[in-house]
Amino acid sequence: MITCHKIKKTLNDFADGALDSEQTWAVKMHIASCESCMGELARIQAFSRLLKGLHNPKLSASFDTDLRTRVEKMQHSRSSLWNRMIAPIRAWTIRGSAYSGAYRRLPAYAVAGLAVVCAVTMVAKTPYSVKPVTPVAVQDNSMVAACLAQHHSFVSTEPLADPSAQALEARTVSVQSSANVSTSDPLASENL
Amino acid sequence: MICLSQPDTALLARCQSNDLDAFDALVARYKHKIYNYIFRMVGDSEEAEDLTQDVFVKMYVALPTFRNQASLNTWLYRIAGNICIDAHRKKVRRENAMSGDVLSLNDTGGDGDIGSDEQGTARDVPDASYEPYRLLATTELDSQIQMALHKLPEKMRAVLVLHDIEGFAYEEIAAVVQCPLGTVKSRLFNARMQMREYLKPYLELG
Repeated sequence: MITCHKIKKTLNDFADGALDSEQTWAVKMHIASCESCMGELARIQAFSRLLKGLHNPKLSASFDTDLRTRVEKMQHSRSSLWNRMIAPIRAWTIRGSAYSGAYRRLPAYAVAGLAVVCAVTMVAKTPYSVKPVTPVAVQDNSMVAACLAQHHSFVSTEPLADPSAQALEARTVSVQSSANVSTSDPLASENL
Repeated sequence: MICLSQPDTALLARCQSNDLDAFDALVARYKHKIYNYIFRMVGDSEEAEDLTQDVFVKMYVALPTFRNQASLNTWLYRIAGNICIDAHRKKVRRENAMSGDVLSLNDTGGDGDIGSDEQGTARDVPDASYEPYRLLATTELDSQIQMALHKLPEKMRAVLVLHDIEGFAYEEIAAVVQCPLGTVKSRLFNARMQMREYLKPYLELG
């Protein structure tokens, strides 16, 4: 059963022509015999007429020229190299501002600056900045030089038994500690 | 020579090639509608004019990214709506800075969706900074309507202006404000109820 409460909830849509034919017919049938709903519809329509009768203000005479001047200045400034570089970023942030609130405040220049900083940091940390170990540093330590020579020249069919496979650092430490205790060649005691 | 009867897509394509005459043609086509919408949202003619310029400047800047997924009409109104929101936030921040009051940006103050929660989105409260004496309304009734509009939360005001003043259909409004159709209807219903309450003396029928 259609009640006034249900009809009144649809009167706005009815006034807007947004109901389907069946609903429209049902509302028309009801308001034909219901003063309360007919009065409510009349108030809705009066309000609609009120808003449609609003006087709209006029733009100033200089609006077009002011806007054109702004856009021409922008066109001129965008022709610079820097602005050509950040144009995609600026357009992305504008798109973000138009379509999503999340990116509304992201400044284009901050993003571009961050990209430059990241690029500089990556270049600074490339292997080319690391100084290679020169043979001179190795030659300064005759013990280390001897270990290295032995390591490079030794060929073993049993890699696991190859003492030269041990960490060079560990052997260097053991060689140095042996040198402190005795003068004998520490390498002679090892089974090569 | 630009033909003003050219469709939006043709003018947009020429704008994307930096054709400023095509840009002027698009501005001529939409400036009054956008200005009216912004004026109803902010209530100040000078501010509305500045913001209307901002809309077209943003349109020009974002042209390379416009993919015709929405109509130009929808896109422009969407930009206009966001610009109005930004302008309102700036105004509130400025006032808060001057008065030292702390106003929570999470205060949802009612957006016309009774019982709904739109992901904690932007604060939506009546514009407390609104100054009626700056209105450019030509009649007392226009002035009262504009004052009543400004008592509405922004989201409800936007839907009411777009539908009852600008003549948008529900689906078009949903595309502009980017919310479901049901939300649009709900906001419109509540906005009308509140406006009718504010304007009761002017709605007395003989």
